[in-house]
Amino acid sequence: MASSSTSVVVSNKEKENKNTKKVTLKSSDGESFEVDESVAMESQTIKHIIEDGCANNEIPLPNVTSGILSRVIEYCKKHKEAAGESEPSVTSYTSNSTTNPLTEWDTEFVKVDQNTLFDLILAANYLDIKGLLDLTCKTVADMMKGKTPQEIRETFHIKNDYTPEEEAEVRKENQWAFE
Amino acid sequence: MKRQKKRREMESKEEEERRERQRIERAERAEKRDLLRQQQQQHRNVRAERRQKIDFISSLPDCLLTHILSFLPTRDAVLTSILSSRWRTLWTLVPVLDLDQFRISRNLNFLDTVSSIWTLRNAAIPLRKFHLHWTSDCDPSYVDTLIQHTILHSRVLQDLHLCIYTTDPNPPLKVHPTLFFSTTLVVFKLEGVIHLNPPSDSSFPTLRIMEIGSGITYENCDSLPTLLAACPVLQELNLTVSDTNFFCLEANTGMLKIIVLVPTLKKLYLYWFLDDWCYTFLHYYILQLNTPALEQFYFSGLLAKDVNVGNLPNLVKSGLEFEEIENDVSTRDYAKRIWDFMGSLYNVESMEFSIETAEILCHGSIKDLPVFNNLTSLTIGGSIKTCSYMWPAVQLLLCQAPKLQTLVFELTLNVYNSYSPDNRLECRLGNWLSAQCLSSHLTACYYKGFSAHEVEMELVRQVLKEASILKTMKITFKSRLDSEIKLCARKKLRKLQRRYPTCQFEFDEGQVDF
Repeated sequence: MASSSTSVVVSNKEKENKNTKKVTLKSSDGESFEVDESVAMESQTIKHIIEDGCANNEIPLPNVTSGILSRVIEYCKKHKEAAGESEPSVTSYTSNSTTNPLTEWDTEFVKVDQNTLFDLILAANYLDIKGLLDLTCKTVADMMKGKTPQEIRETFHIKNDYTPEEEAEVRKENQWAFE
Repeated sequence: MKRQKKRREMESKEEEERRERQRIERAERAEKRDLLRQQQQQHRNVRAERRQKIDFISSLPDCLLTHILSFLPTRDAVLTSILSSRWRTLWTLVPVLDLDQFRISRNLNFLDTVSSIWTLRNAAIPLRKFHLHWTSDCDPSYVDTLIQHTILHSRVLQDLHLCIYTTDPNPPLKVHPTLFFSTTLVVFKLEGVIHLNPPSDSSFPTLRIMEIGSGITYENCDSLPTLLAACPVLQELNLTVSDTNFFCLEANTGMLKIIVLVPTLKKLYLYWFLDDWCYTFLHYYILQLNTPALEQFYFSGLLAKDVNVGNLPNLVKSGLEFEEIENDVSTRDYAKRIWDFMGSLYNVESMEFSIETAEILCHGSIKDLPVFNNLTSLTIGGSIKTCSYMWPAVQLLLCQAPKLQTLVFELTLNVYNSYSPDNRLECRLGNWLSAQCLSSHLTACYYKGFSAHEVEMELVRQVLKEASILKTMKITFKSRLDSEIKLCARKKLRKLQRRYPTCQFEFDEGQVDF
C-alpha cells in the first residue's frame, strides 16, 4: 500500500516538472525574468531560439527594456492561460468581441501612454508575437480613425513638413479622400 | 606681560579659527546653492523636452506603419498621405483595400475613385484583405477584373468580402472559377447580386468563416452543397436563404438542398427570408445538418418541411426566431415541426427565444415535448403585441427546462393597436405562470428595457410570486424614461409579494436605447 502511494507521488512530481519547464529572459537593462517555457514560446522569435538549441542559461533580449518586457510577459501569460488547448483563434478576422473572452482585459492592457504603446509595438514586432502586434497596432489605428489630418498630427505630434505647393499636389492626387 | 601676550595669541588664534570655519561654511553653502541651481536647470530641461513632444510614430519602420494602416478603412489610410512627407506613400504599401461606397463618395463617381486607388497603390504589394461595398450602380465587369487580378496575382488573399448591388440591365457579378480553388482564403463573405457556380471539385482548404447573404443566386440545386463540401475546416457559417436564390433555377428542377456536413463547424446562423407569395417554396428546400461540433446555432425564419438537424451534443448557445405561416400549412403541424426541431437542441445551455415563436407553439400539442436538461439561461425576446396569445407556450418551455437558473426578458411593446380605440395595450397575460413550471434552480431574473407598462409589471409580479429561490430581480430601465416614472415604478415593484423573502432588487438606468 505504502509503495503504491509513493509511486503516485513520484509520477505527479514528474508531471509537474514537465509542465513547468522554465526559461530565463534578460532585458536590455540587465533584469532577468523567469517564465514558463510555454509562455515564452508565445514569441516566435524565442520559440526559434529554444528550438534551435541556442537557449543555454538566459536568452538576452537587447532590444527590450525590463519595463516593457514585464508587460509583454503579462500579456503572454494571460493569453496562454486563455488559449489552453484550443486551436489558434481567428479573432484577427472577426471584430466580434463576443467571440474573444479577453477583449476587456486587452482593452485595459493597452491603456498606456504613447511612449509605452510604441515600445510595445516594437517589442511585439521584434519578439514576433502576432496577437500583441495586432492588438497594439489596432489601438493606434483606432486613435486615428475618424480624425482629420490636423487632429492626427496633434495627437501624435507630427510636424507638417510639406510646402504649400507639395500639399496641394498631394490633395489633388487623392481628391476624393479630401472631399 | 607674558600671560597677556599668551592670551592675545590665543584670542587671535581663536579668531582665525572662527574665520576659517566661517569661510568653510560659506564655501559649503555656496556649493549647495550651485548644486541646487544645477538640479533646477536639469528639471527645466527635462520639462522642456517633454513639452517638445516627440513624434514617435513617424520613426517606426514602414512595415509597422503599414500594419497600423491596415486596420483602417482605405479612405482613412489615404488621408494620412497629407500628414507629412514621411507619410506620403505609406498608404500605397498597405496590403488591404477596404472600400465602402457609402462612406467614400456620395457625390463622386465611385468607379473613378476605385480606379484611381487601384492605379496609385503599389501593384507589387499583393492584397491580403479586400473588402468592397458597392451598393448602388455597381459595374460588375469592372469588379470582375479587379477580383481576377487579385486572385491571380495574390498568393496571400485571406479575407474577401463583397457586397455588390448592380442595377438592371447589368448582369450579376459572376464569381470567377479560380476563386473556388484558393489555398489561402480564410474569410469569405458575399452579399448582393452575385452568381455562384462552384465547380464540382472546388476546394477551400483554409476557409474558416463563410457568409452568404441575401441576393445570391445559384447555378443549380447542387451549387450550395458543393460549396459547403469544399470547406473541410469551416468553423463559422452564416447563410441566408431567400427567394432570390431561385431566380436562375427553373421550376421543378429539384429541391434546393442545404446540406451542411461539416465536422469542424462551431457556429451556424441560418436566415430564411421569403416573401409572402413564396410560401410554396418551402417545399423546395431540404435542410440537412451533420455538425456534431456545433456550439452556437441561430435560426431565423420559416422552417421547411424536410429538415434533419442531426445530433448537436456540444451545443452551448442557440437562438430561435420562427416566422409564422399563414396559408396552406396547418399551424398544428408547423408547431409540431418546430418542437421536433428544438428537440435536437436538447443539450443547449443558453437559449434566446422569440415571443413570436411562442405564439406559433400555442397551436401545437403539449405531448412529447423535448426536455432541456442543461438549459441554465433563457432569454425571451421579441415584441409583445396586443390580442396575441403567447404565454401558455412560454410556460410550456419553462416546464421543459428543469435546471433553469437565469430568466431574461428583452421585450419591446407594440403599442400601436387598432383593436383598442383608446390605445391601451390589453394585457392578455392571464395567470400564465404557475409554481410547478418555474425551475427550482431559478435564482436570477433580468428585465431589460423596462418602461413600467402594466404588462411588464404583471410579468415581474408573477415571477416574483412563483419563483421559490429567486435571489435577484434586476430591472434595467428603458433609457430616456422619465425619472418620475422610474421612481414610481421602483416603489411599486418593491411592494410586490415575493415568494423568496430575501429576493434583492437591482435597478439599472440603462445606457442603450432598446
